[in-house]
Amino acid sequence: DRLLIKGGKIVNDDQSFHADLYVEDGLIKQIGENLIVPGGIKTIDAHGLMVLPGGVDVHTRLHMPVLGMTPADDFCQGTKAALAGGTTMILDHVFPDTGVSLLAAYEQWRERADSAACCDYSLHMDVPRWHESTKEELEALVKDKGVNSFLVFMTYKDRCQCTDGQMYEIFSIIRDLGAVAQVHAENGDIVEEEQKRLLERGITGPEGHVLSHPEEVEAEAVYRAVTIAKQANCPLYVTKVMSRGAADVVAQAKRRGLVVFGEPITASLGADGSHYWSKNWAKAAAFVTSPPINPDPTTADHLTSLLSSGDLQVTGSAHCTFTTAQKAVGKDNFTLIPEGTNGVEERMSVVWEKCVASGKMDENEFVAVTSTNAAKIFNFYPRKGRVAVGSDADLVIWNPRATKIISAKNHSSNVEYNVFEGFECRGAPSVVISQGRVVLEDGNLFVTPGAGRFIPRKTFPDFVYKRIKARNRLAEIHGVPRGLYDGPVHEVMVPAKPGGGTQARASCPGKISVPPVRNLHQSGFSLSGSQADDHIARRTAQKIMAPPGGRSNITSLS
Amino acid sequence: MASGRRGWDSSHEDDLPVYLARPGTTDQVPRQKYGGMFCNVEGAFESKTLDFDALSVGQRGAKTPRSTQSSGRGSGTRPGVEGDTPRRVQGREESREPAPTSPAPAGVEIRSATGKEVLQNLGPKDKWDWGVKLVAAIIRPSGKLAFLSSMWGTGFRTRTCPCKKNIPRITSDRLLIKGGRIVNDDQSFYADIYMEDGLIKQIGDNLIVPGGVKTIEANGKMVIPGGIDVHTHFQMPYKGMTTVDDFFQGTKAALAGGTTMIIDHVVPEPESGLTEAYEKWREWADGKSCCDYALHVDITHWNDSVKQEVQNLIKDKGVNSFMVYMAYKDLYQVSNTELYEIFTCLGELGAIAQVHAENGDIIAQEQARMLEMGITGPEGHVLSRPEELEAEAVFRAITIASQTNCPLYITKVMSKSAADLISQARKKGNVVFGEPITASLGIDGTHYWSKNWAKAAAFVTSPPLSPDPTTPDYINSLLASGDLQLSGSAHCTFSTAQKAIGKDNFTAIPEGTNGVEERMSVIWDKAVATGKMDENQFVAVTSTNAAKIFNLYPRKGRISVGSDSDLVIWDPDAVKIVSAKNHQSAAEYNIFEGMELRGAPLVVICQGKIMLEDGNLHVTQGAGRFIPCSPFSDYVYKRIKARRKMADLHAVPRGMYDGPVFDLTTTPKGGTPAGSTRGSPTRPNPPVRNLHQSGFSLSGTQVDEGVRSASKRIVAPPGGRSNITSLS
Repeated sequence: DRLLIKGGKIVNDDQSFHADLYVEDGLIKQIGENLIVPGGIKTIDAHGLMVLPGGVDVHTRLHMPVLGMTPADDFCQGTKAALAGGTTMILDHVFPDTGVSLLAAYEQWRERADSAACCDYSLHMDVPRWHESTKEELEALVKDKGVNSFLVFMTYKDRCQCTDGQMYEIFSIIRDLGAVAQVHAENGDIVEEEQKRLLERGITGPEGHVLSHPEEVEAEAVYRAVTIAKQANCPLYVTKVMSRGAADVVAQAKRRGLVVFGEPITASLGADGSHYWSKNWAKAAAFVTSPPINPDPTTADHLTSLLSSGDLQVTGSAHCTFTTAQKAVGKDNFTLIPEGTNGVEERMSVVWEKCVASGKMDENEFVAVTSTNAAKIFNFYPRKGRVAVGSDADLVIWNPRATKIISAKNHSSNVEYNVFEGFECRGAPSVVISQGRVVLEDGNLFVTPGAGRFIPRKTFPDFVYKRIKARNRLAEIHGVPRGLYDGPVHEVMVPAKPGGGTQARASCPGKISVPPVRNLHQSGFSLSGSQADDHIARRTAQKIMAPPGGRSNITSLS
Repeated sequence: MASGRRGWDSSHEDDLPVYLARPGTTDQVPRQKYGGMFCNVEGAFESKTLDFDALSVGQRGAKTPRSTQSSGRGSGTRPGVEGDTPRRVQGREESREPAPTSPAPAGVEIRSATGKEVLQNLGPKDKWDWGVKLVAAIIRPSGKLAFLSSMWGTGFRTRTCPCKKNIPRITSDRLLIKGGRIVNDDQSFYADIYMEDGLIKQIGDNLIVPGGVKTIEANGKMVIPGGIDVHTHFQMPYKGMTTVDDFFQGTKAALAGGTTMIIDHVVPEPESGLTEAYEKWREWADGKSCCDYALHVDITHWNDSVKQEVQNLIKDKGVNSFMVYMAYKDLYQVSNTELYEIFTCLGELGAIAQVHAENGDIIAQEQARMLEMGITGPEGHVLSRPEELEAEAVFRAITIASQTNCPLYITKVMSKSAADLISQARKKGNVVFGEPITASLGIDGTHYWSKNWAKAAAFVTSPPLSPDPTTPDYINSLLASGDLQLSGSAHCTFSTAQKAIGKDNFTAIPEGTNGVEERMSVIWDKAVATGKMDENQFVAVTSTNAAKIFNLYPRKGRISVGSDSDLVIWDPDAVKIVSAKNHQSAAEYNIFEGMELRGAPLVVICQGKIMLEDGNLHVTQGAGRFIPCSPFSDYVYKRIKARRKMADLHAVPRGMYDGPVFDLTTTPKGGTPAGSTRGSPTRPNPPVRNLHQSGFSLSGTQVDEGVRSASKRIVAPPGGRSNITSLS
C-alpha cells in the first residue's frame, strides 16, 4: 500500500503548491520534489489536477431509526456514496431510540459501522431526552468513547424537544466537558401548531411540510440557541442551516463575538425547495427534510456567499435517505413522511460548482469548508483535513474541469429520487484515496465494507475552546459589598396567602409548584462583622469587581 | 379681548420670533380656517365668522416677511397683549417691542369672564383693520382690567392686577383657550379652542362663544392633547402587598405630569378568572381614579375558560388588549404553544397581543446561579436578566405573532437589542409595536450597583434597566424615528419597606419603578429639547399613537372638534428638577432623582376641567371614567385583515399515490420498535396522527389526472404564504 502521487497541485486551506507526495501505511510520509521512494510502487499521475485533503462530511444519518425503519443507505452504501463523491470521512449522528441509553445506542452504532463502513468515521451523539443520569452518560462518552459533540433538538415536540431550561443545563455541562453543543434549530411548538392547522385545512401533501416549517421558525430557534449558548458560555454549532434568516442570525452572532458555527448542507446549497409543490407526490416527498429546503430560489446563493465569507464554516450533507415506499408511509399525512434527503455523494461537487466555479471562493477556501474546518472544530486536525507529512492519507485528486450531471440513474445511493436531479456541476474527483488505498479510479469504486475505522476525538478542541476558556476566566461576577439593610421591612402577610397570596400564585396548573421566594437560606450576608463599622466610610481598596455594564462587555464585542 | 398673538401689527412682524409669527408660520398664504379642512369632525366649520383677511391675499403677501431675529425664548410675552390697547398705540411702536428682549415669566393666564359680554366676537384674528377689532373689544366692562393686563402682556409685568390671581373656580364647564398653538401629531397651528361638557366644541379664530366662559390665555404656548400612559400598575396587589400608588395617587401623579389618561394592567391571580379580576380593578379605579382610564388584561394562564372570558371581555367589557408573560417561570409564564394559541385567538377577535418579553427559563437558571455565587443584592437582578434574554424573547414573540398573523405589542422595551429587533421586524413588514417606558428613556441601570441598598432596589424592574449608559439615547432615537411608537411608564411603585422583603434575595424584591409623572417631561427633555423629534412627533408618541393603537382615536389623542377636552398647555422652557421630595407618588425614591428636565405642563385640562394650574392640582377622586376600547382598531387591523385574505393556503391537487408503501406493521418491533420515535414517554398516544383527515377524496380527479385544466392554478406558489408577511 505504497503510493506516489506525482505532479499534482497540493491544496490546503492556507496555500497551494506543486509537489509530489509519497504515501505509506495509510499515512503521508513525504511531500516535496524529487522524493526518494522505494521502487516498484504504484504511481498516480496528477498533472494538471489538484490534490486535496479528503472531504469530511460532518453530518450523516446512516442508521437513523424513523418509525422503525432504517434509512435506505446504511453505513456500507452511505460511505460508498461518500467515497464516490470525494468524501473520505463521515461523522454520523447516533440517535438513541426511546428506552435506549446513550451508551447503548453508541455501542449499537459502533457495531454497525465497524462492520460496514468503507471509510473512516466518527460519531456525534444526539441527546433526545434529558434526565438526571444524562450527565454521567455524557461524561462517560466524552472520557472513554471519543465523542466530543452532542446534539439537542429544539423541535420534534413530545419526542426529543428540549426546553430552554434543559438546553441551558445541557450547554453548561457540555462546556464543562469541553465538547461542542450542536442544535437542530426549529421551534417545535410552533411547528406542531402549524402542522395541526394545515392538516385541519386538508393540506396533507409534502407542501404542508414546508408550509408548517417556515423560515422564521428556524431563525427564531437559532436566535434562541445563540442566546442560551451565550449565557452558558458554550460553543454552539447549528446543524442544517437551511434558510437565509437562520444563516443571517448565525452571521450576526459571530459578528457579536460569539463562538458559533453554522453548517449548511448539500441540499440547502444546491437543491430547489419549490419541488415541494411538485405534482409528483414521490418527487415532492423526496425533498422532505427539516428544516425544509427553502422555496426561495435565492437562498442557495445567499448561503454560498456566507460560506465563502466565513460566516458559515462547514458543510455537511445530512444524508438520510428513504425509499419512496418508505416515504409513502406519510402519503396521507405529511407529518409522517420520514425526513431526510441525499447529499453525501454530491456535496463536494455542489460546493465546487456553486462556490468555486462561480468565483465566490478559491480552492483553499473550498478545502477549508469541505474538510479542514470540520477537522478543527471536531478536533481531529491535522490528522484529517490537511495534506501534510504525518497526516492520514485521505486524499482526493480533484479534476476541476470534469463535468457531471447528477442523476438518480447513476448515483451510488439506494434511493429512487435524487434531490439534485439534473444538476450540472463542474469539478469532480478523479481519484479518491482512503487510508492510503485507492478507492476510486476511472469511475470505478473499490471499497471494502468494514475497512473504516472509528476516529476518537478529544475534548477541548483548540479551534473552539481557546476563546471559551479565556472568557470563562473573565466572566467571574462579584456582588456589591454593602452593609446590611436595616430599614423597615414590609411584612409579607402570611394569612394573605390562601386568598391570593404567594403560595397560590406559584402553583400553576400542570407545573410543579415552586414557592416564589427561593433560596432564602442562600443569602450571602452574614450576621457576623461589618455591622458595627457600617457607618464608617468604606475602605477604598474594596473595589467593585463587577462595574456597571459588567460581565456582558466581555463576551459581546460589539 | 382679542386673543394675544394678534397684538402685533404689520410693522413689527419682523421683530417677532418665528414661532409667534403669524399662524401657518412660513407660508405666505393667509391663514385658513383651522379646524376646517384639517379637522375631521363635522361641524367644525359652523362657528366661523367671516374672516376678511382670508380674502386679502395680496395685502398679506406684500407685507414684510417675518424674520427670525429673536432668539427662541419665552413665548409668553408678546401674545399676552389684550384688548384694544396695542392697537391704540399702533404706529409709534418701536418702544413697544420689549417682548423679544425681555422674556416673560410665566406663560398663561386664566380669567373668568365677568359675564356681561354676550356672544362676543372674540378677537378677530389677524386683523389689519383694527377697526373691526375695536368694535369687538370695547364691550369689555372693566376697562381697567383690560388695560392692566395688557400692560403686563406688553412687558411691564406689573403683576398688580388683583383679579388675575383670584381665579374664581367657576363651576361652569365651559372653557376657552385663547391664543394657543395647537399641536397635533400631524401639524401645529394657532387657534382658539372652546370646550363645553368635556368636549371640544369649536376650534378656530373668532369663535362665537357664550358669555360667562372661563378663558385661558395661552399666550402662544403649545396646546397638546393630554398624554396617554399606556402602561401603569396602580394599586396592584403583589404577595399580599399593594403598590403604594393607588388609583387616586397614581392618576394624580399622572395629571401633574400632563397625562390625562392611563391604561392600567389588570393582573389576575393565575387561578382566578379574568372577568373577576377585571371587575375588581374597575371597582377600585371607578372609586378613585381622577382621570379617564382604560384597562389591559393580563393573561396569566391559559385554557378554554380563559378563552371564553377573553371573548366576553372584548365583546362586553371594552377591553381590546391582553398581555402575556414570557417570563416569571412557574408563575405567569406561558409556553410557546400557549403563545401560539393565545395569539391566534386574539388575532381572530381583533385584540392586541401584548407581551412581557424575557426568557423566563433562562432567567430562572441565572438567578439560581447568582444566588449560588452569593450575589443577593439588586445587582443580581440585572446580572440574571441580561439584555440578550430580552432580545431573544422579543424575537420569539415576533416570530409567533407573524405565524399567527396577530398584531404584536412589546411592553417595556428596555434594551438596545430588543428595540433593534422591533425595528427590524417592522422593516420586514410585521405588525409590531414597541413601548419604551419612562425609565428606559430616561435613565440607565448603573444604579443597581449603588452601595445604598434601598436606592439600588428602587430601580428593580423587569426587564431591568440596561447598564449600558448609551441605551436611553438610543431608545429615544428610535422613538423619534418611529421605530418605536408609543411610551408608557410601567409605573409600579413599592415603598422601600416593601422592596426590603428581598433584602437578602434579589429575586424577592418586588419589581417596578415610578414614571407616570415624569414621562412627558423626560421625553420632551431627552428627545424634543435635544432636537431628535419635533413637537408633533412628541404628541404622537405620548398620546396619538396610543389612542390609535388602542382604538380611542380621535376621542383621545387629538385636538379636534368632538374630541374629549383632555388638553395640556405645555411650557417647553420650564425647567424642573425631579425629586422624591416634591413628586406626587407615595414612594420614597424617585429613580429620576436630581434630573433636570426641560418642558413641563403649565395647565392640564381633563374632561374639560382644569386639573393643574400654577403648579396646583385640583383633582376629584373618582372623576375618572372607564373608556371602553373596541376591537379591530383600524390603525392595527387594516393590514392584518388584508393579510388574512391573502394568506389562504391551498393544497396541491395531486392524484393518489399508488406506489408501494413500506409496511410498518411487519417491521420487527424488537430492536427498533416501530413508532417508538414518535411516541414519547410523556405522551403515549399513537404516532399516526390525523390519518383520517386526508384531503384527498377517492371520488373524481383520478381519471383526468393527466390532463389538468390550465385554469386550475396553484394558489400557493413556491415561497407561498411567507411572502405575504415578510416583505423583504
